Amino acid sequence: MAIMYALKSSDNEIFEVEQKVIEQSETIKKMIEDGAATGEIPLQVSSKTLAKVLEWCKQRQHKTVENENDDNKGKRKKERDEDDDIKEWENKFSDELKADKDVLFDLLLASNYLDLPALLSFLCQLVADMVAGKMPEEIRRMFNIENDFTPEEEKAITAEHGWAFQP
Amino acid sequence: MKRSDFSGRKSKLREVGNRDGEDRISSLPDAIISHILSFLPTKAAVATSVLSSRWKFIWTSVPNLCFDDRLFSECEDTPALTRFENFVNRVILLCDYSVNINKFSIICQKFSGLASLKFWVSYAITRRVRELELSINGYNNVELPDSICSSKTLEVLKLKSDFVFKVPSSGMCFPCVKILHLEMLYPKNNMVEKLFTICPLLEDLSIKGIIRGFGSVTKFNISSRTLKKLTINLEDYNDLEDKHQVVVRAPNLEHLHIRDSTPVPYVVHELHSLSKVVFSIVDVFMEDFDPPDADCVVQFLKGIANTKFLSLCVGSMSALECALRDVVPAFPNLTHLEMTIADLGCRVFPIILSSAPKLEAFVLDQKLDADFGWIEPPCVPICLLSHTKKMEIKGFNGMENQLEMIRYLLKHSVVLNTMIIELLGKWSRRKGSREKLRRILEMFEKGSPTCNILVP
Repeated sequence: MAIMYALKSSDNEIFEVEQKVIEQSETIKKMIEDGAATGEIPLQVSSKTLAKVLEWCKQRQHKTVENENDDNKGKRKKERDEDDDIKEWENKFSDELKADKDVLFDLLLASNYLDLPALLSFLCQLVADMVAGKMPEEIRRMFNIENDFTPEEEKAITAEHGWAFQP
Repeated sequence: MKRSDFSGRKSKLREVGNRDGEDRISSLPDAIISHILSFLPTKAAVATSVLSSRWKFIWTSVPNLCFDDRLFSECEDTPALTRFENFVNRVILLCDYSVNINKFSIICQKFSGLASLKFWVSYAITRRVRELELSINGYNNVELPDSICSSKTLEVLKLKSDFVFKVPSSGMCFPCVKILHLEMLYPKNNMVEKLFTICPLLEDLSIKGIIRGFGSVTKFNISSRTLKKLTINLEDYNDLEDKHQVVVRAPNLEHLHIRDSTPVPYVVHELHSLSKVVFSIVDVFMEDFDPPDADCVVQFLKGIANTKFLSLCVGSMSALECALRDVVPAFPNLTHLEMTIADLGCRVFPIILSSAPKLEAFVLDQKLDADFGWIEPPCVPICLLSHTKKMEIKGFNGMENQLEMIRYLLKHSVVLNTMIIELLGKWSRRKGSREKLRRILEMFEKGSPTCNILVP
């Protein structure tokens, strides 16, 4: 029987999760090891974000378990199929986040807070892909970044770093 | 990145609400932003400095510095190479020196004649670089600083050019490097004879090169107790008497991939942990195999005989056929075998089967137009009676002799689960050829009652 833990979101929703799934979070793993995880574990993460985090963790967990259960027969083909499945799942996950950037940033902060290095890297890569190849004005528009340079400052910085903008 | 990285004006986690128009990315902690920027080419990371005052200096703490000259094009006033060099120098000047460099990469494929490379590499090493990748165009010797050999932070080193650095005459080189990938033009003995014996933590070594001995024999000496994976890819255009030599001594080696343009002596010792071997001799046909050359291949196979997985290409199989047939070594642990044969090598196939008693699965790929030279072995290979569960026969062209082989395998394989027969291109397009083959196969005697024959 798998050991279950109850996670409490910042808006007081309870999530029952298997230990193996949630131990991917270094933060929670340490809490469990410290014996600080009796009863509900209160987290500074909203229920909407936490649900997304757990979606990721379960997918990762699923992947590891399947690999452990594999025997050698036909393993390479199976791995290939699995890789395709994971890619497909990740693409869908990415598309949802790109469509709702608030969820994306909530998730970035949560992965940092919960210390989930794989998720954090995945999300940083996702944001980098969104930025890549864009002009500054396009990036500002995409993320609502306000250009707070005075015209003089902007001129100075473009002059100073102009080499980075040249093709 | 830890929780303690939370900093800045708006670092508190906030509830989801209506945030239309809010700038969320700029309120991320510095560490996350520089993590994001580390996935961009350095040029694009620097360009974010103009977004707003928040972004002006964040790029300076990016742990990955990746420069690629293909992102620079000619413009009227300054040559692109100069602009590329100026760019790297500017970044180096402005970057936060206290941040350890995770990855430093210089790709200079378009231009040649980089003046500052040695300085840049030296800079990366003083900033405790973990992974260094240099891919430089041009065939002139590119000099690297001596400090590269003694760095205590460098774990991954990938060099692609004709690099020279002073291999220490005694002691060790690359004390912490685990992954070393070298692409060399004309490797020289003063490097390859010594270097791969003095890297104390080496786990993954890849050597690619074109050999020109200039009158002397190029000798690769690879000796390591830590090495797990070795990939060698060599092309040799020397006269016959100057062929290169390779000696490998690696008791913990698991994966060995060799691709060579010539059958040269690969002398291997103490390969006790081997599990996978891919051995390819390319572009060689029978007339090139003198008995001594063919014997090189046999000697090599004896050295790797305890492997579990073995892949042999056309050249390797031809060489075995040219050697005395009864010297094919025994493979006591072999479970998976892949063979590609052309006009030569057909006769070796049953001999290898007989020498691999634990073989569970094999793939036989035939690249031939002519008939398959199947010769029935004098006694049934042991593996067929106890272990072989899966067979893939590729390139089936419908010749009588191939059918004979399949008839033999089906009859004598007692534990066979699956046989897959893939038809040769032009044969597979012919209408009804699959059905015809299936009907023929149905009539063959089967040693295994549960055998499933697939003709996809």
